[in-house]
Amino acid sequence: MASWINPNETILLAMLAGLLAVDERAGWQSLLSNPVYIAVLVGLLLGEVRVAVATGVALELVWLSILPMRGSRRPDIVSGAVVGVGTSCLILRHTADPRELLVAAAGVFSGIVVGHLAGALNRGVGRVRGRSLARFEIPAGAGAGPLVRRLLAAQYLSLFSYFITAALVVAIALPVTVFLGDRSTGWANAPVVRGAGWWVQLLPAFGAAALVQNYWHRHLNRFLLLSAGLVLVVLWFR
Amino acid sequence: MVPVTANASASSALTRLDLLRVGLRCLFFQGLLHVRGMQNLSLMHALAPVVAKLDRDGSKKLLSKHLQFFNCNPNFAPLVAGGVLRLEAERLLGTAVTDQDVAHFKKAVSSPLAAMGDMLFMGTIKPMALTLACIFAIYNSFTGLVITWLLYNGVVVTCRLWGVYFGFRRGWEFVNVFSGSAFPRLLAIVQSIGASVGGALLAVVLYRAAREGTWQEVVSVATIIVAVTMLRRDGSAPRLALLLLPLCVLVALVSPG
Repeated sequence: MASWINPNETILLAMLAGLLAVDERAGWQSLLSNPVYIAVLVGLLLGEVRVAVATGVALELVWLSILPMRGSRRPDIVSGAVVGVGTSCLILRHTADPRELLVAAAGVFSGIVVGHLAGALNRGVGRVRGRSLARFEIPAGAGAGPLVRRLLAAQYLSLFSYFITAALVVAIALPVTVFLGDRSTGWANAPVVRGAGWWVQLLPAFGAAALVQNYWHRHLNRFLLLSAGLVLVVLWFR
Repeated sequence: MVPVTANASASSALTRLDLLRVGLRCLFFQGLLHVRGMQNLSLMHALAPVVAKLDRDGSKKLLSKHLQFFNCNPNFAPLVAGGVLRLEAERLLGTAVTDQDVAHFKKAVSSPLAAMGDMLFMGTIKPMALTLACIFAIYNSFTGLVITWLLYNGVVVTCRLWGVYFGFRRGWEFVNVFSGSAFPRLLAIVQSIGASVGGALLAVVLYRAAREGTWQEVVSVATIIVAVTMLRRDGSAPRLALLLLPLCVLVALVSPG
């Protein structure tokens, strides 16, 4: 393992992931738990905002097609984004690799893989949590006090389970992805760097595809096309 | 259905502070989500701070009857919580409200509100906010990101906190607000704005690809078409994205520098 992986930074990012996971799964989903905002937070924490935002935007656009509806098999976007963006920032900060697109590609790849593995883990943890909550019983004895206390305890336990799952995933995955990312970017030759760069530049197309798919209805496609046309004209003649 | 009278004393059974305490618990409404009862424990947890005021004999009956299945959109669930509190307040003041009436109210309003909330928040407002945030992030506009975050959270937090108050003030009557033409009109407007923001991101993606060269633009358009086709067949965009990496590297290896 590379000696420059700082345990304090790993713990800091793990705690951040834990807090954001509580917001994402139990809270009001304040957007801070989405990759584009996670990128800004992690970038500011690690002092590498530029590559962080490049990685975060790519992850956001890839995951934009998966709406947070109940029943959808969602990846764990919080753990995935913290690991992905953290990987990019740590590799760049400690190696000062000038090939920013390659570093971002390493982060995006790590983020997607970790997000999907952690998503599967979350579903398992969720089943255990669900089974324990389904066994919730009204406590014997008169008075609402014990019931209110039991509800509060269940809520805190549930929030803690969200926190600890995401924190552990990040604490375990981040050093591994940083190590592997550092090694693979070190080995990458010119064609690989070029290919990885193309990949990162193509990823926004997935976000665009998700939006086209989402809004391609009889009453909405005219807004989509009109706006796209207008913005293209403005950008072209700017 | 319980006839709702303009009962001013029912409204005064709970103070604004009481409703705020319920609203604050509604911010973490998904915390106790589970497959069997869905959000039943969350509703019980949200109502807990005011139970002493509405259940004067100090029994746990007011809370324990909500152990039955309850499922709603978390941003609209506070409306239901407020409505339940209104019915309980009316019962406290002597109106003929039975446990069946409360259960009927929950059952009648939760499913339509769940569908409406999912369409409005998860299907429209959130993707729109994220799309806008991506555009601002692409152009390194920190101010834009902060404004988007504030606007989105303003809407969601207000909905959760004010929802309890609105549900409590209106009781059954709040159904009229959602059953009329106002909600479909609001949804249509928000969806149009969402589609326009989506169009803007589409333009940004195409413009940036065109700046890299014709080849890059052609490949981007082809990727969009393939991804849309795949998404329509319930395919996974992240998996396709992962598959694309070795393909890009392979093309780079065989193509001249």
